Amino acid sequence: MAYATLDGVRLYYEEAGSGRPLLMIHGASQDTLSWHDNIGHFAKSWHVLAVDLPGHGKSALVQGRPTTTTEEFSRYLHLFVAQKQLQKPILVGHSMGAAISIAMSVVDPDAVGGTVAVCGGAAFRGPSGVSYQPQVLRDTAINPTDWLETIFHSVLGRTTPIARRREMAFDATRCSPYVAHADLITYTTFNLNETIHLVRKPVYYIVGEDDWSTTPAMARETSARLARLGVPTDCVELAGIGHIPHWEQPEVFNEVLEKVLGRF
Amino acid sequence: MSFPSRDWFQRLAGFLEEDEDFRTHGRWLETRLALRVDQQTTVMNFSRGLILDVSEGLSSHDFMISGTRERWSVLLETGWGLVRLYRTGTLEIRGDPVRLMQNWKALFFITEGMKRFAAAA
Repeated sequence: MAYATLDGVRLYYEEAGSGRPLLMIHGASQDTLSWHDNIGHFAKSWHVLAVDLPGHGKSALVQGRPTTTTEEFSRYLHLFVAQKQLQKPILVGHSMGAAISIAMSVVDPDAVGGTVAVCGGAAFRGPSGVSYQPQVLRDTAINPTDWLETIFHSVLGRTTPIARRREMAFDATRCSPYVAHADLITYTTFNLNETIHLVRKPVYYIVGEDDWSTTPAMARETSARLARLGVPTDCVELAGIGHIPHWEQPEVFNEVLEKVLGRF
Repeated sequence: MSFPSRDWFQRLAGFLEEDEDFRTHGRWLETRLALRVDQQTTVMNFSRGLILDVSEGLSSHDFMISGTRERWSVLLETGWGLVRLYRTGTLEIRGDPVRLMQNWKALFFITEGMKRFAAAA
């Protein structure tokens, strides 16, 4: 268990293994716990680090309020990489964390080796791009905890066991409601369309077949656009799995991620 | 007994009262929920884990979930959850947004129960 202090903000992280750095960045309403079945697996051959983003898990808020932009999250990720002196880490970001990872690689391509975007980091336009009617997104501010809990019950794949679904939905409720709603704003306002031409480092997508939030079609289309820009990229689809593959079915995910990491 | 007949909803009420998820998340629900399928409306009166009555026709209600028969089939047959149906606008939900979100989890698990009941029927 360790903490870094970055520009006055306490950031919790976990660290295991040695070798080339692999930095895991969780998604909305989650924290390092979501990687608990992945960290040990990859620590056998990588220097694995996983962070609690500001406001999540054991990390403090930035300036006493939740973060609502990928840019602010990516700034703290960048500070973390610098303070830990990580040499071109591979960023494995999930959903909102994928967007944050790509945002960081755009700001400072020399600081990262590339990104594995898990069910996120696709180019879409505004909340409707990820199937949010505007009034629905607005109303989630009233009760974000219950909204996110039911989201977790709904976005998982058809082959994910019921016990795991319930466990994941419960764990999502541990996030502060203020942070949970801010995460929805962050997730729905990420706009890769404006910066996609600035992406230089490889971006490999892993997406669940049953993910209806960041769909396989969105990931494939974004990957194709990156390929046309000369960026090393690909998109791997996981059958019967939903929006949170590393947590839903870690054995399947770990095997696929190993193959993807072999391409860096 | 076929959806959306009054008999279907009456039997659903009995199913929900025995459903573990509804008993957990709907135990404090106090609401009159209208379910509108095409032009046909059924109102279910929920009170603290019980369904006090099921009535046909558009009577007073707190919330209404509505859509065509085809759109309801996306819940009952395709298996989408209420989150996705509402988020995408596939089913419409009317009512005071504050009360709606305060009761969101109970409403979600009522529709999850509807899915299970439809599959078992």
